[in-house]
Amino acid sequence: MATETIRVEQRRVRADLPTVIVDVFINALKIFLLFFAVWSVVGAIGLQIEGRLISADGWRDVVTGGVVQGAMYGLVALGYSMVYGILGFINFAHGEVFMVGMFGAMFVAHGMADNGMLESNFFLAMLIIIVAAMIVSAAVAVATEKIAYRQLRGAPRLIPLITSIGVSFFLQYAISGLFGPGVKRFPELPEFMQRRYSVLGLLVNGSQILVIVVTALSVVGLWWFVTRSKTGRAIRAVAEDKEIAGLMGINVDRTVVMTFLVGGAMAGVAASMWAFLYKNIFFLSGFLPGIKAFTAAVLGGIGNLPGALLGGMTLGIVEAAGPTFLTALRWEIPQVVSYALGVLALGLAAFGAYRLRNKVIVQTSTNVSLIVLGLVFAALAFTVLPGFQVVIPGASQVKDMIAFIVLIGVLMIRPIGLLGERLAVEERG
Amino acid sequence: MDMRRVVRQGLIGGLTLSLIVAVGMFQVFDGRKVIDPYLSAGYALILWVPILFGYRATRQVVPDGAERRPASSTDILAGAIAGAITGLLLGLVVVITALKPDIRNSFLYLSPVMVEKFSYGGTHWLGAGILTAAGAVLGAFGGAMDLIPTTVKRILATVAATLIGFNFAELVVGDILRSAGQNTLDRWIYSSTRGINPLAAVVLSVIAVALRLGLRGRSGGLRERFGNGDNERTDNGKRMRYLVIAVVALAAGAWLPNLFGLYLNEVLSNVGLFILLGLGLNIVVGYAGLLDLGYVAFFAVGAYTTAILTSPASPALAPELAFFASLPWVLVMAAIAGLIIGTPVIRMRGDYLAIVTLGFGEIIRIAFLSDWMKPITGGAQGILRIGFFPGESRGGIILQWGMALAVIGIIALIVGLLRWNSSRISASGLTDIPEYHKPTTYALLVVGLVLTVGGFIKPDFATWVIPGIHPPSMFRIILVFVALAAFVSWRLRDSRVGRSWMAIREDEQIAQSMGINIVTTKLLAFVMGAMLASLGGALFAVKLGSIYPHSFEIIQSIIILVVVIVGGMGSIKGVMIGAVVLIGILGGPTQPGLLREFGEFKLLIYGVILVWMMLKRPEGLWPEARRAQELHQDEMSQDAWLQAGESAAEGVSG
Amino acid sequence: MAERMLETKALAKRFGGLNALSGVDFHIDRGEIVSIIGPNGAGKTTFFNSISGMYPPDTGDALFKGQSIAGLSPDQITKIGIARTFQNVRLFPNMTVLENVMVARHCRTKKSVIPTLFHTPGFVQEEKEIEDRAKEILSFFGKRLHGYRWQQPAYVLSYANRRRLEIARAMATDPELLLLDEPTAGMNPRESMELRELIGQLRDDWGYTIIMIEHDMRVVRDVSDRVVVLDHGVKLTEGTYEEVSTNPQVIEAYLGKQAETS
Ligand SMILES: Nc1ncnc2c1ncn2[C@@H]1O[C@H](COP(=O)(O)OP(=O)(O)OP(=O)(O)O)[C@@H](O)[C@H]1O
Ligand SMILES: [Mg+2]
Repeated sequence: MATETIRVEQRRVRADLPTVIVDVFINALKIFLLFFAVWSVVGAIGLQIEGRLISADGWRDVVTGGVVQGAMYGLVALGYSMVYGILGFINFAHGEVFMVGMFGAMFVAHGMADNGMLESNFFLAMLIIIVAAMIVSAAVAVATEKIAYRQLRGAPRLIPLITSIGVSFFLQYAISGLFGPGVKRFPELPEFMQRRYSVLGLLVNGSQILVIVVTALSVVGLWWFVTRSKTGRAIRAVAEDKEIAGLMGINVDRTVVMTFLVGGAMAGVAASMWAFLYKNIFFLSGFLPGIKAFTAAVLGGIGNLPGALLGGMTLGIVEAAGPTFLTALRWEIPQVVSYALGVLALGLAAFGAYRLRNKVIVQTSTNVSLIVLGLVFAALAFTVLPGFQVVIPGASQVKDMIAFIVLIGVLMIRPIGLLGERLAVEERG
Repeated sequence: MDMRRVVRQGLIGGLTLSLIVAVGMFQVFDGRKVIDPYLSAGYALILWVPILFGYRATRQVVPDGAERRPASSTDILAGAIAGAITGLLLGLVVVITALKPDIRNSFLYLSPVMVEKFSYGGTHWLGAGILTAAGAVLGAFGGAMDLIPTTVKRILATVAATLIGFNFAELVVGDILRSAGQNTLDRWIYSSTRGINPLAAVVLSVIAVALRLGLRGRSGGLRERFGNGDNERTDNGKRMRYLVIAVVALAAGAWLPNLFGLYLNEVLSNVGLFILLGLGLNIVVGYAGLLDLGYVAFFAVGAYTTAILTSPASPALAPELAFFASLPWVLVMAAIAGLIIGTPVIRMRGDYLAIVTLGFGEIIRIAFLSDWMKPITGGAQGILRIGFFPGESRGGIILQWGMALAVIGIIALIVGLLRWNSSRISASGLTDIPEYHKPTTYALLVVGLVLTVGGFIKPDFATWVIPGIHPPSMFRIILVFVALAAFVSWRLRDSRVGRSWMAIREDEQIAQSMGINIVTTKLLAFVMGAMLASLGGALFAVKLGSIYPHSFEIIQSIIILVVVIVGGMGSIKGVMIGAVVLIGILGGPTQPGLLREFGEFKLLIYGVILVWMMLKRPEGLWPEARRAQELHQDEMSQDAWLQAGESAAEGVSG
Repeated sequence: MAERMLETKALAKRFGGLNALSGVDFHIDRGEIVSIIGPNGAGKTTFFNSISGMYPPDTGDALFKGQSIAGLSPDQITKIGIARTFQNVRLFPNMTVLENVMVARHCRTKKSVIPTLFHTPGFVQEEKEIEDRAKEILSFFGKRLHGYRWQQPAYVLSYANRRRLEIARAMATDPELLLLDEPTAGMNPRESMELRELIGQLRDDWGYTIIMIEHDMRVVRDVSDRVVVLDHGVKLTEGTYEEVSTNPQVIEAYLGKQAETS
C-alpha cells in the first residue's frame, strides 16, 4: 500500500490574488478614513481662521460637553472591560444595567423632589440618588450573572454573548412592561445647578461640574479598590488565570460576582449622572450609550481599566466635536495642497513599483496597495479634488454614526486599542 | 426537605408570578378564554408557575455518584410551602396595590382593576388568602410530581397540550374548518369568544388521550422502520427520499394558502420571509461561525434596491423595472455590500466582529434616514409605491395563472436540468448513480420550457384583478425563494466550500494552517448570506409596498438570530422550525403572529426564550446531529476518555 | 547531491523580552529525516511556527527549495508544500475523521460555489477524488482509522489516534516537507514503536522529507539521519545521533550545570 510517491507539480510561491485585493481594499478604507479625518481637522482649522466655523464659546461647549459625556462613557466602559477581562465575553446587557440604574435614580429623585429634599439639601439628596442607582444597577448585574452567565463558564464563546443579548432584551422589555414604554423625566434641578460657573476660564454648568467631580471620586475609589483591596487583587488574579487562581484558594465565583457588582455600581453612577444631565429616560435609553461605552472600552484597549476611561474621554470629545468637524468638510482643498498630495501619491506609487520588482512576496499587498491607491489618489488629486467640498446637510443627524466609524477605524488600524489589551492569555476553545 | 431551597424556589416563583402580573401579561391574556367561561389564558399563563417551582423545590442536588433520595410524601409538603410562598408574594403585590393606589403612577398595570380581578368578589385580603391557598395546592401538586404514576402524568400533559394547542391554533383550525365547509363543527368547538366550548374540550381531550395511549406501543416500531431506512446508505435512496420530501413539502406549501384566510396568509408570508432570512444568516453564523449582528444591513440593501428600481416614486432615479428584473441588481448590490462590510471585519476576533457588524447595521440605517442620503432614499418618509410591475403601484394586478404556470415551468425546468445533469454524471461513469428515465427528463425539460416561456409571454393569461398584493400569491412567491435558499444551503453544506466554513468555525488558526484561505472563505460566507438576505429584503419591499428606515432596526437582526439559534445553528430544518414556532406563533418584530395577545410582550418573551435556550438547549430545537454533539462535548469527553482506554488496550492486544 | 529542501538563515523570533529563537541556521535536503531536540522551552515549537507561518520570524529568512517563504501566511506555505502537526493535537473536533482529512485537500482542489450548486461533473469528480484520496491516506494507518471510524467525530478518538489523524491530515495537503511536533508524545511504547516504522515509511514510500521534534531518544535514534539541538533559542550543535548524544554541551543543556560539577 501507499507506494505511490506524491505528484508534485511545480509549485511557485505566489501572492494570492484575493488576499491582495482584500488587503488593497482594507488599505483603501484606512486611507479613506484617515484622509477625511485629516481633511476635517485641517478644514476646521482653516474655517476657524476665516471665522466661518463656530464661535469660541461654541468650542468651549463642545469641549466641556465632550469631556462630561466622555466621563460617563468611561464609567460604563469600565464594566464592559472588567467583565471582558475576567470572563472573556462582551456583556451586551451592560447597557441595560445602566438603563435600569437610570430608572432607579429617577424614581428615588422623584421621591426626593416630592418631599422637598432635592431643593433643601441637594447634595445629600444627590448622594442618596447615586447610591440608589448604584445599588439597583449592581443588583441587576449580579442577578444576571447568577441566573444566566454562571452556568455558561467554559461554553463555546458565542454562547454567553448571545445569552447576554437575550438578557438585554429581557431587561428592556420588562422595564417597558413595568413602567410603560413612554419617556419619563428626571425632576428639575435646583437653580444653582443650572447656573454657569467659570472654572479655569471655562464657563461650565453646575451639573457638569458635579458629573466631573463624581466621576473623579468614583474612579479614585475604583482604583483604590482594584489595586489595594484584597478583592481587587483577587479580581486581577482571576483575570490572569481562573484555574490557577482557584488553586491558590481564591473563590472564583465570589470574585466574578464582585466584578459584576463593581462594574454594575460604576454603571449606576454613570446612570444617575446621565439621568441628571439629560433628563429623558425610557426603556431603550441604555442601548446606544451601552454600545458607545463598549466602543470606548475597545478604543482604550479592552480589559484595560485606565484605557476604558481614556477611551471614554476620547469618544466623548470626538462625538461632541464630530458634527462640527463634519461640516468642516465644506472647506475646499486648495489647489496647491491637492497637487502636492498628488505628487506625493505618485511618488509612493513609484516607490511601490520599485519595491514590487524586488519580488518580496510578503510585501506584495503593501506594494500593490501603494501603486493602485497612489495612482487613484493622484488621479483624483489632479482632477476633482482641488476645490472639492463635501456638504453634509443635518450633520448632527449622523452623530451616532461617528462612534461606530471610530470603532471600525480603530479596530482596523490598531486592533488592540489605544493603550493595548490586558487579557488573560488563556487558550479558549 | 431542604428548607432553604424550598424558600428560595418559592421566592423566585413569586417574583416570576408578580412580574407576569406587573407587566400586564395576565390582564391582557385574561380577556382570552381557553375553555370558554371557565379558564382564561391569563390563568393558564400563571397556573404553571407554582407547579413548576413546587416541583423545583423538591429537586435534589445530587453529587456525582451519590444515591438519589426516593420521592416521598414530604415532597408534597415542600412543594406546598414553595407554592404558598409563590402565591403569597402575588397576594402581597395585590394588597400593596390596594393599600397604596399611588403605585400605579410608576407601575402601569398595578391598578385597581388588577386588585379587583384578584379579590374574587371579596376584599384584597381575601384575594391574597385565596392566592396563597391556590399556590399551596398547585405547589403540592408540583411537589408530588415524582409520586404520580407516569401514565397519569402523560394523560395530564396530553390534555394540557391539546387544549393549549387548540386554543393557540384557533385561527388555523377555524380557517381550515370553514374552508372545508364545516362551519357547524367550528361553532361546536369554539365559542363566540373563540375559546373552546367545555363539551368540545372534554371530547377533544379524550380523543387526544386515546390517540396518545393507543399510539404508544406502535411508535417504537415506526422509528425502527425509519431507522432502517437511514441505514441503507445508498446515495440513490437518499437522493430519492430528499427529492420526494422536497416535492411534497413544496406542493403542500403552495396549496396551504387555499385553506387560510387573509390574516393567516399574512402570517404564512412572514414565516416564509424569516425562513429565507434565517437561512442566509445560518450560512454566516451557523456554517462559518461569524456572529453577524448587522445582518439587517443586507436586508435593507435588498429592500432599498428593489424600491429604487421598481417604484415610480423613488426620489433619485426611477427606472421602474419589474420586480423580477430588479432582482439581478439586488443580488449585485448585496454582494457589493457583503464585500464592503465583510472585508474590514474579516481579520477581527469573533466578538469584535459581532459588535462591528452591529455598528455597520446602524450606520446603514442612520445613513438611509439622514437628510444627507435623502435625495436617494427618501429619508424618514422612505419610498412608496413599490410594486411587482411597472406602473402598477401596489401591484394592483396579480397574475394568477400565467405567472403560476411560469413558476411551475421553472420548477419543471430545474428538476429536468438536475436530472439531465446527473444523467450526464453517471454516463461519464464517475459514480454508481443509475441514470434517470430519459424520456421523462426530456419531457420535463420541454414542458418546463414551454410553460416558462408561455407564462412570461402571456403573463396576464387568466388574470385576476385584486386590489393590493394578494397574500396567497405573495406566499407562493416567497415559497419559491425559500426553496431556492434551502437548496443553496443544502448543496453548499456538503461540499468543499461547506467543509472549509466548518473548519473555520471549529478552529480558524488550524484551518489556515491546513491551507484554507480564510479571507476568501469568510468573504464567501458573508456574500452568500448577504445575497439571501437581500432577496428577503426585496420580497419584503414588494410585500409591504413601501419601506422606511424604521423597518431596519437592530431588532430585526436580533430576531433573525433568535430564529436561527432557537431552530438550531447550522441546521436547515432547524431554521424552518424556528421561524414557524417563533414568527408563526409569537410574530416578528413588527409582524403579528397567531396569538395577537402577545403583541406588546413579544420581545420580552424573545429575550426569555433566547436566554433559556442558551442555558438549556444551546443546540436548538432541531439541530444538525453534529452540532448537538458539539455543545454537549463535556458529557461526551468522558466517553472519549473511556474509548481512549479501550483503544490503548486494543493496541496492546492487537 | 540531493536537492536542498529547506534552509533557514539566522532565523530569530522574540516574544516580549524573551529570545525564543536567535540566529538559527538550519538546512535539510530532500529525503532526509532530521530530528530537533532540546529541553522544554528551547524554542523548538517556535521554530516550526516561524517556518509554517503561524508566527512569522522577526528577522532572518527561510528558503523552501530556494524561494523565500518568511512572512507568508500559513495557507500559502501549506500550498507550496509544507505541512505540519501540532504538539497539543489540534484537530477539528466536531468534524468526522474523514472530513478532517478531506478538508485538508482544500488547497489542492478548486471547485467553488457555482459548480457546487449545480453538481457539475467536474464537481462530482473532484469530490470523489477528495474522498478517495482521504480514504487512501487513512488506510496508511492500517485498521486504526478505518471503516466505521471514518464517520466518527474526531473528539471521540483516543489520544494516539488523534495524533495519527493529525499526521493523516497533514499528508492530505500533499506536502513535500512534513513537520512533526512530538509525534509520539503520550503514546505507549508499543504505539510509539509502530509510529517509528510509519515515519520511516513516510519517507521511503511517500517521499516526504521530514523534520521532527521529539523527546523520546529511542525514536530519535531509530529514525533520524541527523539531529539538531536547540537550547534557549540557539542552535547548540548538530550531527548524527551518536555525535550529539555524547556531546558534553548537550548533556549540560539537558541536565543543567550540576551534571558537570557532580
Ligand atoms: N505565543 C507566545 N507568546 C509568548 N511567548 C511564547 C509564545 N510561544 C512560545 N513562547 C515562549 O517561547 C519559548 C520557547 O517556546 P517553545 O514552545 O518553542 O518551546 P519548545 O522547545 O517547543 O518546548 P517544549 O519542549 O515544551 O515543547 C518559551 O519560553 C515560551 O514560553
Ligand atoms: Mg514545543
